[in-house]
Amino acid sequence: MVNVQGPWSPIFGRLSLGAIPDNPIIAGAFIFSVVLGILVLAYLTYADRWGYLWREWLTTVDHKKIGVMYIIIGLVMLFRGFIDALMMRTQQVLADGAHSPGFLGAAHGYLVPYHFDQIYSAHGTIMILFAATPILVGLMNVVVPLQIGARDMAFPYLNALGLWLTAVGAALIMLSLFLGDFSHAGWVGLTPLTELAYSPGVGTDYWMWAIQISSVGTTLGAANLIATIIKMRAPGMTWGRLPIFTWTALSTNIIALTSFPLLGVALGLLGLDRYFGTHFFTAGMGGNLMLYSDLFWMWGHPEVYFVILPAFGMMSEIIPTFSEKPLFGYVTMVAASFAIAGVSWSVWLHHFFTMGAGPRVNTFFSIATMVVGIPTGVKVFNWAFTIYRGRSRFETPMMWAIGALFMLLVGGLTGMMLAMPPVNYSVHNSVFVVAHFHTMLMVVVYGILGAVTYWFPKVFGFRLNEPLGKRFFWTFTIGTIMVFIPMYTSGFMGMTRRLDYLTNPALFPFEVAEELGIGFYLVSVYYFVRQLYVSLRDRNANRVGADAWGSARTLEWLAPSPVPFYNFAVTPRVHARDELVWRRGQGLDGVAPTHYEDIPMPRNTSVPLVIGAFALGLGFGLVWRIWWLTDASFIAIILTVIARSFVRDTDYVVKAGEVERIEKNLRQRAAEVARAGAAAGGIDVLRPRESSP
Amino acid sequence: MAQDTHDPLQHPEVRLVNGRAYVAAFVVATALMTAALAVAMHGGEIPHPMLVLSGAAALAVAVQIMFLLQLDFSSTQIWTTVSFVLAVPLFVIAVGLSMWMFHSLDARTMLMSLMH
Amino acid sequence: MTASGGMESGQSALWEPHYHHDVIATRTLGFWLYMLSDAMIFAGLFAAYGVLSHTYNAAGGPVLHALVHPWTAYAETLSVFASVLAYGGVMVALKRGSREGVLAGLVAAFLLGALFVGLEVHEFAALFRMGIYPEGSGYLSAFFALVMTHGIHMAFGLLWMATMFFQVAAQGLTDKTVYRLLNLKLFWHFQAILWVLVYTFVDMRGVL
Repeated sequence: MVNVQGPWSPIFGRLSLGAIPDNPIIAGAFIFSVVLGILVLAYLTYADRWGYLWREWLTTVDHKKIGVMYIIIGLVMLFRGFIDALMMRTQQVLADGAHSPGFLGAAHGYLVPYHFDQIYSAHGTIMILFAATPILVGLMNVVVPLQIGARDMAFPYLNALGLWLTAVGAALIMLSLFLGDFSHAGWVGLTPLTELAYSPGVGTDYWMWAIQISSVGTTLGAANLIATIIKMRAPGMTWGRLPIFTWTALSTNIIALTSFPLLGVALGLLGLDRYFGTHFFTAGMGGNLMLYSDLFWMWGHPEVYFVILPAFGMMSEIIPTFSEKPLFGYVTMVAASFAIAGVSWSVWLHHFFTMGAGPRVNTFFSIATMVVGIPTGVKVFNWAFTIYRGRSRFETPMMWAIGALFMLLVGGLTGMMLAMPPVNYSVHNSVFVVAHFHTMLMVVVYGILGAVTYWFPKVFGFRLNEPLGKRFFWTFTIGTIMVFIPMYTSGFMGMTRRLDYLTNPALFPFEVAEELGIGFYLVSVYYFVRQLYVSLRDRNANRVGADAWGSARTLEWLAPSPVPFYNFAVTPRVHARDELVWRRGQGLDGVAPTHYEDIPMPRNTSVPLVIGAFALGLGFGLVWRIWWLTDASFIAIILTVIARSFVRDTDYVVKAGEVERIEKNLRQRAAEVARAGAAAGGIDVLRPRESSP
Repeated sequence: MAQDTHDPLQHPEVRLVNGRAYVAAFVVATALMTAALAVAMHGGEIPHPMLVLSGAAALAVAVQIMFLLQLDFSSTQIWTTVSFVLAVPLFVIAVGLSMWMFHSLDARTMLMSLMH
Repeated sequence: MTASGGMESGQSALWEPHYHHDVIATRTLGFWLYMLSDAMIFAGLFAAYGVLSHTYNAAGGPVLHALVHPWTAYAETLSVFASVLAYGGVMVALKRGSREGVLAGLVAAFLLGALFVGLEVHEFAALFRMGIYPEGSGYLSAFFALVMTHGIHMAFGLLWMATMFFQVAAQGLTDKTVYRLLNLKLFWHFQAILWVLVYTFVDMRGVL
C-alpha cells in the first residue's frame, strides 16, 4: 500500500473538513442542490409518498420502471454536464487575449486552470458514461422486452442491481463536487498525469471508482439484455421479424459485454498503480504509459458505437412510423449494424495515431476506420429511401430523427477526414476533433430526444406537448449549429482543446458565436422543462390508446398505454416483421384475448438497493482510503449476494381473475380516450388534441 | 420469471453430462501439458519451441471446450457455441493488435530494444 | 373496442396461452455471456503482459525465468485438472439425481481447488521472501496482475462451491440449485481453460 501526501487517520482516511471546497461557484451549486433536495424530501413527506416510492420504484424489478429510473438519472446528469459545458464556453469567451479580465482569483476569465480542468473532465465523463449510457440502457430496458413480447427481462433482479450500481457511480461524481475535487486529467484520464505522483488528490480516485462501479452495472445489463433477446422472444418472433431497435440493442450490448471489461482492466491497473505502487503506466521503472491509452481505447472506441447503434435503431423505428411506410432495406440495416459492431473492434488506434507506431500499423487502423463509413452510408441511404415517397408527418420524434440524420452526415464526413493519418497528425488534439465527436454524439442526443418523445406515451399513457417539443427542437438545433460550426473552424485555425486561456485574439469571434449557441441551448432546456410540465399538467387531454401515433408498426404498440406491469396479458403470437401493421391490415389490432391465465411474476426486492448502498460505501472508502469502510462494504456485498441466493420465494402469481379485471379497466380507458378523440373532431380517433403551450 | 413445473434434473443441459468425456478431457489435457513441460525444459533442442507450446495449448483448450463444456450445434448448446465463436476473435484481436502496435512502437522509440 | 366477426377463429392464432420460457437455459446462457465478458478481462491482462514483458520493462530487475518454477506450475496444472474432473463427478451425480453424490463431488473439487490456491500462495510467498514484489517493475506488475487475477478467480470459485455445498444440503436439487450448479460448472471449467493459457504463456515460456 502506497503512502499518500497529507494527513490520514484510520477512522476518516484522508477525509477532513478541509475537503470541503471554498469556492463561490461550488457553494452556489451546493445551495441549489440542498434547496432542491429539501423541496423533494418535503414534497415526499407532505404528500405521504415514501411508501409509494419504496414499493413502486426503489424496490421494483419491473423493466419499465427500471428503464424510467435509468433515464431520470441520465437526464439529471445530462443537465449537470450541460452546466459544465456552459461554464467552459463562458470561460473561453472571457479568457481570450492578454488583456482579458480575470475574476474570482483567476488571471483570465473566472475559473482557475485547475478548476477548469476538472470541469472538462467532469463534462466528458458525465456526458458519455452517466448521461448517454444510462439513457440508452434505460430506453433499451423499456422497449426491448415489449418489442419482443416478453414479460420482463431475463434477469429482473440483476437488472435492478445494474441500475443501482449506475446510480452509485453518478452519486460519487456528484459527491466529488462538494467533498474533495474531481479528476483534472480529462475524461480519458491521460497517463502518467493520473498517476499518484502527479495527481495526489482524490479527484482521480473519484473519477476512477465512479466509472468502475457503474461499468459493472452496464456489463451485467448487457448480459441480461442479450439473454433476453435470445431466449425470451414471443412465439413467431423469428430473427427475420425482430424489430430493428431490438437488433441494434443486441449488437450494441454485444459491444458492451465484451468491451467494458477492458475499461475495467485499464482503470483497475491504474488503480493498482495508485494504491499499490505498481508500474503499469508510470514513465519509469519499465512502465508503459501508452499501454493505458491502448487498453482505454480498446474499450473507448467500441463504446462510441455502443452509444450510436441504439440511436440508429431509434431512428429506424421513428422514420418508418412517421413516413407510414416499411423500413427500406431491413436486412441491410441489420447487416450494417453488425458490421459496425464488428469493425469497431479494429479501429481503436485512430485515437492515438500520433503515438509513433509504424506506417503499417497506422495504415491498417486508418483503412479499418474508413471501412466503418460503408455500413453507415448504407444506413443513411436506407433512411432516405424510407422517407422517399412516404407520407411524411413532421411530428417531434420525426424532427429529431431527421436532425440526427444531418448530424450523422456532418460528423461522419469529418470522421472520414480524421481517419487519414496525415490529416489526423495536423489536427490531433485540436477542437476540430472535439467538434467532430460532438456532432457524432449529437446523433445520439437527437436520437435519444426523439426516442423519449416517441416512447413516452407507451410508458405514461399520454403524449408530450407538440408545439413546445418543436420549440425545444429548433432552439436546440440552432444552439448545435452555432456552437459546433465555429468550433470546426477554430480547430482548423489551430486552436487546441482543453484551453483555459486563449492567446490568439483572432479566435474571439468564434468564441462569441459559441457562447451565443450555448445561450440557445439554455433556452432549449427551458422549453424541455416546460414541455414536461405542460404535458404533465394537461395529461388528461393528451391520453392515447395502445398505438400512440396512429401509424406505429411494431409489437410494443399492441400493449395498452401505459403498459401494465405484466406487459401482455397473454403472450402474443407474431406473424410479421411489422406485427401491428399486419394486425391492422387484417382488422385484428383491437382483438383482445378472451381467456386469461395466471401470470408468474418476480417479487419486488430491496436487495439490489442494499447492494448499491454497500457499493457506495466501497467506492467512498476507496476514494478517501478509509480501509475499514472498504473492507466492511466488500464483505457485506459478498454476504448479501450469498444470503440472497438462499431465498427460495422470489416469485409470485397474478391470478387470472386479477389479470382480467386489470385488462377490462384498461380497455374501458382506451375506449374513453377514443371517444374523446372522436368528439374533438379528429379524423384519426387516436390522435390526441394539442394543448396550447 | 416463469417457473418450470417439471423436474429440473430432466433438463437437457443436465442430461448431456457425460462422465467418460470428463475422463477423456482429463487424460488428454494432462498429457498435452506434460508434453509442454518436457518441451519447455528441453527448449534448446527443438526448432520453434514457443510454436510447439502454443500448439499444445490450443489443442488442450479445444479438448476442454469439446469435452468439458460440450459446445456443439445441438439446439441445447447452439447459443453457447455461437457466442463463444464470436468472442474468440475479440480475445485474439485485443491481445494480437496490442502486441503488434507496441512492437512497432518499441522498434522506433526504445533504443534498448535494439540490444535484445 | 368491438371485435370483428372473425375474431373467435383468429383468437388462437393471435395469442399464445400457457407460453413459458426455459428458465434454466436462460440462466445458464446469461451466465455464459458473463463468463465471455470475464474472459475479456484476461484479454486485457494478457495484452498488458504481452506489452510489458520485454527485458527493458524489468528495469534491471528479475525476468520470467527467475519467477516461475516448472514443477510447481505442473503440480498446479494437475490440481486444476483433477478438481475439474471431480466437478465432473458432481455433474454425473446431478444427472443421477444423487444429492449425496453432488455433495461428495463438491467436497473433492473444493479440496483440489484449494490445493491449487495453496500452491500458488506458496509460490508467491517464496517470491516475496526473495524481495520480488509487483512494485518492482512494469514487468513484475504485469506478471503478478495476470497470475493473481486467475488465482483470485479460483478463490472465488471455492467460495461459490462452499456456498453450493450448504445450499444443496439445505434445499436439495431444485430449479435454483440446479442452474447454479450448471453455472458453477461453466465458471470452473472456464478457469481451467484460462489456466492452460497462463501455464503455457507465462510458466512454460519462463522455463524455456
